[in-house]
Amino acid sequence: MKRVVLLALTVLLVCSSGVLASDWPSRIPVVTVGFSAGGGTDTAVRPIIAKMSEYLGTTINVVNMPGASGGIAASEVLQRKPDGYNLYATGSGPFVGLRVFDYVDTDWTDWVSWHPFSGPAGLIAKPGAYESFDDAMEALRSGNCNVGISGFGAGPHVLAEVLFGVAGVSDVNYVTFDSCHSAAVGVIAGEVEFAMISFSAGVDFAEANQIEAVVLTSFEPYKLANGKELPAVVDVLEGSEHIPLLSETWPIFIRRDTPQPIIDKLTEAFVWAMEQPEIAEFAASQSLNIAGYYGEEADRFLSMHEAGYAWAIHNAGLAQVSPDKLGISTIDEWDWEVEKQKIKK
Amino acid sequence: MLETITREFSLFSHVFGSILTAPNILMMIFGTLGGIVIGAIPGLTATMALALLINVSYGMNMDLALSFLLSVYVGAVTGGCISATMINIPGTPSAAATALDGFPLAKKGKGGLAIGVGIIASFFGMIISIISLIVLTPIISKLALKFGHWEMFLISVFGIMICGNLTTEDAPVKGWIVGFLGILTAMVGLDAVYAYPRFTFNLLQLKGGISLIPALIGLFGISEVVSVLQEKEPYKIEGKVGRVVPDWKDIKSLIPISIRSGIIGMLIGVIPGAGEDIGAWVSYDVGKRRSKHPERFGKGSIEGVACAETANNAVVGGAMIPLLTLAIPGSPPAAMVLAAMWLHGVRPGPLLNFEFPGFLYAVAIVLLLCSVFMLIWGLALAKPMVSVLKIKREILMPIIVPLTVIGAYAGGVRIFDVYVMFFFGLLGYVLRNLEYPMAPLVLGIILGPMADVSFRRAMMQTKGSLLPLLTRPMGLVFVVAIIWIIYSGYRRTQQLKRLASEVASEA
Repeated sequence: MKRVVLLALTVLLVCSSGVLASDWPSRIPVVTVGFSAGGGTDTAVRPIIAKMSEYLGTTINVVNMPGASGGIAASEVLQRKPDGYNLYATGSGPFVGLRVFDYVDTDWTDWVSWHPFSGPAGLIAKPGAYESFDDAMEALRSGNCNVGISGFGAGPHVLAEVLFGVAGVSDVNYVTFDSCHSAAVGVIAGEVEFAMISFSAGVDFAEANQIEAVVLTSFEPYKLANGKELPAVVDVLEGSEHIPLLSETWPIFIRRDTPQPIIDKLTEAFVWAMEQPEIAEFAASQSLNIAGYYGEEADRFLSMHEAGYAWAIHNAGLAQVSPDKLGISTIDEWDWEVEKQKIKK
Repeated sequence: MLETITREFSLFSHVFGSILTAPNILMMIFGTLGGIVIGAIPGLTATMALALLINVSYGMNMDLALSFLLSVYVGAVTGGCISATMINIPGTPSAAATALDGFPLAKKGKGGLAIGVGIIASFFGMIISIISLIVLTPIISKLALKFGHWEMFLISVFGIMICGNLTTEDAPVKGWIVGFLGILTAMVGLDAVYAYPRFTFNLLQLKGGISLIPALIGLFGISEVVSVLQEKEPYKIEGKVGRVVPDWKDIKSLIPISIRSGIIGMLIGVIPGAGEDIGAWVSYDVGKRRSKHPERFGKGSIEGVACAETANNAVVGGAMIPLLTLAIPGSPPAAMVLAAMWLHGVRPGPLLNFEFPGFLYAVAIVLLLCSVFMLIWGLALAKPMVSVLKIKREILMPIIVPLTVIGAYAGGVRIFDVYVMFFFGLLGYVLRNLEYPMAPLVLGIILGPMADVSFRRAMMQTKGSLLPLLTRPMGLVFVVAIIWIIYSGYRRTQQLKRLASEVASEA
């Protein structure tokens, strides 16, 4: 008798979870963004959420829970039920830094992610201040220049560390700002000589010739509307081929143990949203690239991103926990076939 | 020159015509009302409301979205004065200065008049900042670039010192002590430069820091409730509501005050990140120093209400200047408006006039119309709102408690914030009984992180040397101002001591 009851309960539980998944969304899902409203992450996430909610026929609320580089929001979402109503959004850089900075013990294997955009970083200066990339590096080597960044461990800082490492520039004096945008304003106001920023945050200043990009962490040069071409790092710095692969994305996450039908439905909505012209227009206006990663491609990206970032943070002396201790391989040793075995079943 | 003026005028009229559609106007009418209600509820701020509403505006066209968001912004900044006056709990942090005089006025049975003055002053503030937005934008926008890390540090210290100086009659040092207690509170969490945990005791929730809103609601709301309920006979507000619209003589005397406060608020709005709170306090300080009756400030002065309310609304238009020309938001809610503009494909910044000609005018016209609706709603609602004052305190206060809990919880959606609120409620109660002011503590929490991070960034810039910073002209102005505040506070304390000893010896 006991067995029959147990069996009936199991069947009921399986059926009800199936019903729950097929009914989804029956209430309003919430995306918790790990940074302040109006910031770069928030701005990059909102349009895609708006389009996904259009496809799903439901409002998706966006709430902001800043703190601990997105760690507070991550731990909050991890504590909630994996019922498809709790999503999380942050930058890929801060996300892969959560473990090395000892904020939250979570990594890409705990989550499924969708990445709408990616964007290169740019080393910027006042127009005409430096004749070439080499000239700028020489000025940095002199030790008399300050470099503005949005924060230690943030995407552009890590890219700056890697870039300067390859270029043989050491002991750079960084000055932090509230955001990449304010770091660009810092260059205009003469507060700092250089800034390393997510280029999308300063593209309008470049168009208005108030700043100039010394180099972009991209494979291809970027052409401004005024016809000026901005150099790609691979064209001006030998040995920098891996740098563009570290460009940041702004993913939306959900717990990996969420019922598969819900994940599939969200993926459908994401793919549909990415095809909408408004998203392409938004990306173009912000000088962002369309990434569109999901599924295995997204996992692969985050895993490789973690390898690049974690070691760059460690090498800059900022890591609280060694990447070695966390089992994070270096970018040279990184192998997707090995990495994907880490996904928790 | 004449050609430029004609061209700009025709652009202005064209934009005016395109804004003046029925959906836009209706949106502004109801948006302003919604904003006033949000602002009046302790804990719900303009920033929070805008963060939630941005996505709702996504499907709207730009003009409608602008009408929607700016009307809520204008309404919410104004609405804070209603609860500050009625129940001594500022609905938004920017109304903390208003409570100093608004509530004493309400206790005297002049609550209607206090709200009326507050609303009219807010309207004046809006108009002054809108005129500046249209006429002075090219000149003033450059001012924002003069504020580097060092100047931001000094202005935050300046704000806390002023607030401390203003909120205690006998000993400014008491105000400064709580101001720095606020800074200490703001230090809890991961530091904003190296993410080093400070006073977190290894608790993840503390790593996120102490949120301002729960602390504000606790300090003003819970401590007020406990204090009132403790009294054997809670105070009653007797008599009629009284007139809401001040008489012409009063309005006339308030015009010069409003012009001065409006200019102060607008200029503070231009400074990135300074916001409505500092605007209100600086204007209140200047108002008190220039007043013929400084002794009335803090005890129910109509001038005091006008100074604070004109300035906090003037910040709205001022904050739009760096936002539109440099894409730097002058205040936290302005940061939300910027995000909304990006969402709608408008890129404020140096190319705004080329890419979106007339957008600046659209913002100015929407703000102007919202100000008119805010004035109408505010005055119409003042009388029914004041009737809340007549509800017995022993009934009203327990109703406020659940509202404060909701307000504290709504911002971050975490129960930890409710605990923070109760802790600060208790702290507020203790401070109140020891006759310490609470407003500087709130300003300390708001400005503490800015002071901390700006000072350290300034040090990074000069590789640890103070000397190069002392040569910056704008910084020097603030250094002198801070020294003056300390000196005048010290002098006042000495005068009061002397007076007290004279009285004692005469006795």
